[in-house]
Amino acid sequence: MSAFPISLRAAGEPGVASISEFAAVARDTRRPVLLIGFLRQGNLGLGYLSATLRRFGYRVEVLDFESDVDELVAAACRLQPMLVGFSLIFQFYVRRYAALAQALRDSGVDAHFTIGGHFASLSSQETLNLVPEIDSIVRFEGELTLLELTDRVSVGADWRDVPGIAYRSAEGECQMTPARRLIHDLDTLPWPDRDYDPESILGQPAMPLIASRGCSRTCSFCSIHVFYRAVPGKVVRLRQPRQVVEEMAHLHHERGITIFLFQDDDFPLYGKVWQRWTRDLIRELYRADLVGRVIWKLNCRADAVEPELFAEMRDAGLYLVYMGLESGSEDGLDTLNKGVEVAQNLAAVRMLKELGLTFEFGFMMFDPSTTFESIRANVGFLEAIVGDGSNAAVFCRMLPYDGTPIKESLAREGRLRGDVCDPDYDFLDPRINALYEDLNDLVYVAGWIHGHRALSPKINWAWNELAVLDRLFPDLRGRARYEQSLRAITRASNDLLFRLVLDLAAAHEAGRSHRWNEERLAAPCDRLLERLAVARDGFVARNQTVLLRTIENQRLAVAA
Amino acid sequence: MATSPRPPAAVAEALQFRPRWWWDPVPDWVLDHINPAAIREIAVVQLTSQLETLRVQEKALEASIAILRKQK
Repeated sequence: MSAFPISLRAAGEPGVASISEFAAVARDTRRPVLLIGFLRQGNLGLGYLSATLRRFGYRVEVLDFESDVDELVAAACRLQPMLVGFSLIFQFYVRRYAALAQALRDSGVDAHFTIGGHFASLSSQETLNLVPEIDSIVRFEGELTLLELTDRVSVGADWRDVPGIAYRSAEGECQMTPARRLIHDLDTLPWPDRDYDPESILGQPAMPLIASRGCSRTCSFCSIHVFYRAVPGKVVRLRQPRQVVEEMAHLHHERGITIFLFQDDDFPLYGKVWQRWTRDLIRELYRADLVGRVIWKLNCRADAVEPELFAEMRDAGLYLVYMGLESGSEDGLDTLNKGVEVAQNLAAVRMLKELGLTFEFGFMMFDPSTTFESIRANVGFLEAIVGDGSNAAVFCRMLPYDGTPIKESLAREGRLRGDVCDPDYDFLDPRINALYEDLNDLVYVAGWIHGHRALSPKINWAWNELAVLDRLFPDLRGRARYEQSLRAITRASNDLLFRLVLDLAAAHEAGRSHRWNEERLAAPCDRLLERLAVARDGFVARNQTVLLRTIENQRLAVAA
Repeated sequence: MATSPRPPAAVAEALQFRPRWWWDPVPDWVLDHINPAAIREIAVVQLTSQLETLRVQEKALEASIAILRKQK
C-alpha cells in the first residue's frame, strides 16, 4: 500500500497541513463511522473515504443505499455511529436520502449527519433545504474534509470552521467555509476499501479503480469539470503508473481479479505528456508480469483515439473502450460543447474496429438543440458506426443536471422544466416534445434501450463477454459462428430501432399518426431476445468444460 | 427465427448471463418514474412470463412423475 503522508493546503490558510498535523489531532475512535451510498459496480468514492478514515484508526461500516430502509435503520441503531456520511452520486435520489435521514433520526440515531457528492457540493443551499436532518455537507473532494470533520465530531469539538464544508446557520442560512484544495498527489491516499465480492463476467472477477481524477474538458452537460474547477488546485491529477499497477497486482494476486475497470473521468490519453504516462503504465504492466493475465477497460473521448497507442494498449490487455460520442450532428456536438466534430467520432470508431477492440458508447439522441434534421443525422451516424452489427445502438436524452453550464443556459432561456429529482426542459420545436414522449414510451417500455426487456444492453453485454472470451480463455469451438449469430441479431435489432425512430420522427414532423405501438414492438423484441439467449447459452454450454477448467486453473495460479 | 434449437445443456452458475450490474443505474430511475399504465404493462409481462415458466415446469414435473411411476 502506498505510504502517507497526505498533504493539503486549506484555501485561505497559509502553509501546508501534513499527515503529522493529522496524527497530532485529538480523536476518539471508539464509536464507528457509518457511510451509506450507492454500491452497484463498487463505489470507489466511498472506498477512498472509508480507507482514509480507517487509516487513522476509525472503525467504518459501509452500507448499500439500495438496501431496505428498515435494514439500514436497524444497522445504524445497532452500530450507534458518531457520524453518518451519505454519498449522493445521483441528484434524483436526494429525496430518498432525506427520507432515510428522517427515518434514522426518528429511530433515535443521534450521530452527526453529513452528505457529499457533486449535487451537494454544487447546490449546497438546496441540499440543506431538501434534507433537513443533515448537519453538514462535505463539499468537493471529501477524504481530508471528512477526516477532519470526523476528528472534530469524535471529541465534541466545534466543527464549523473545518475547511470545505457547508452547514446551516442558526438563522437557517447556508454557511460555507473556505474550499479545501484538491489533493495534489493522489498516491498519498490509501487504496480504496473494497469490502465486497467482485462482480464477474463469465466467472472472471472485475474491480473498478482509477488512475486519475478530474477532466480538462468543458462539456456543457457535465458537472465533473465544474466540480473540480470550483476549488483551488490542479484540476487533472494523475497517479504514478507504478502505483496504479501495484494496486492492480495486489488485487490480482490477493483476490484473483482479472478484469480492471478504469473509472477515470477521462483516462489520460490526450496529448504527448499523457501519452507518455500511458506508455509508462504499459511498461509497468509488463514489468509486473500482468500482461496476458489481466485485461482492462477505459473511458475516453473520440479525439483521444490514436492507432499506435491503442494498439500498444490492446497488446497490454486493453479489451474494451467506452467513448462518450454523445451526438452525430455538428449542432448537437456544439450545444454539448464537446469540442469534437462528427468526423472525429466516426474516425475513432473506425480505428477501434480496425484494431479489433470492442467499444461501447454514450449517445444523446435528444439534446436542447434537437430538430427533426438532427434526429435523422443522429440515426445516420448510428447506422454508420453500428449498422454493421458490431454493437447495439443505445441512446438517451440529455438531462440538465445541477451545476452544469447547459442547465444555466436553459434557465436563462426560460426552457428549464421539472425539479431537482426530475430535471427537464422544452425543445425549441414543440413537436419534438411529443416525439420524445412517444419514442420514450416505446423504447423504454417495449424494450430496447432500457426497461423490462433491455434488448440493446443485453446484446452489448454479450459483445463484452465475447471480448473477455477472446482475451482470457483459449480458442473455443464455434466461436466464429457465435460471433456471426451475434452480429446478425445486433444488426436486426439496430435496423428495427432505426426504422422506429425515423418513422416516428417523420410522423410527428408531418403531424400524422404512425403504425408503431408496444404490442407491435414487443413480439420482434422478444424474438431477438430469445435468439440471443439461445445463441449465447448454446455457445457457452457447448464450451463450458473448457471455460470452467480455465477459470479453475487461473484461480490455482493466483493462489500459488 | 425464434425457434432455433434450445441450448444443449444448462449453463453453470459462474457462466450465467447476468448483465445488469454493468448497466448505468439512471435507467432504473427512469423506470421508477414512468407512468402507472406502463408499470402495469410491465407487471403483466412479468407475471405472464412467470405463469408460462410455471406451466412448463408443471409439465416437466408431470413427465418426471410418470417416468418414476413406470419405473416402480
